[in-house]
Amino acid sequence: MKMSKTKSESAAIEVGKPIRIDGATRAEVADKLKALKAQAKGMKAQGGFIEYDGGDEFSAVITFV
Amino acid sequence: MGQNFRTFVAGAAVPEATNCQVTIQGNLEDASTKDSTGGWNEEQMTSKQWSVQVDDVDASLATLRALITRFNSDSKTSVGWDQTGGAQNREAQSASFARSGQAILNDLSINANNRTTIQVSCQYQGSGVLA
Repeated sequence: MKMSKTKSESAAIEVGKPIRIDGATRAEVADKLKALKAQAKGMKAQGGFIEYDGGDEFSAVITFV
Repeated sequence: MGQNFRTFVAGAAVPEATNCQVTIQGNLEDASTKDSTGGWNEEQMTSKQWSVQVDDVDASLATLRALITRFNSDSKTSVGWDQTGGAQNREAQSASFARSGQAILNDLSINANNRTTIQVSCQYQGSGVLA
């Protein structure tokens, strides 16, 4: 019997635990946020504001409750 | 509507805000030369600046303390705006017009009249690009 572990591509959503998303552009972070919201269907989101961190870095922190 | 256009400071919507004002300005210089005809100025953008002002009523003592600490620190904070919705209308919607950048709290006004809620007005002056 062969056993293997598969790695999940999407970030695990834990209730009340903030998830940080990084990206090189605002659109990239917005797409990742959209995907997370779709994954967490039915959960309420808090935060999710895309911040410009300087240079080519954008980030957002979102929490599902 | 105006209530869904909210200011975000350090990643969170400013709580209990009543008003916010975004100002984006370009500084122009007359670039007219002898080649310019018709008597009209030809302008050239030499620099740009942006600022965000946000008003907050019924500010708690903790909020006041945090704002004064931020003012004294001269530090830059992430400031921006977005369309909001959801719980307490504080959830960012990642609207296409949303922008943010680093800014310094350079104007803090606290108004505490007798028997009224304390009103706080903050202006954040952008430092660097608004992306």
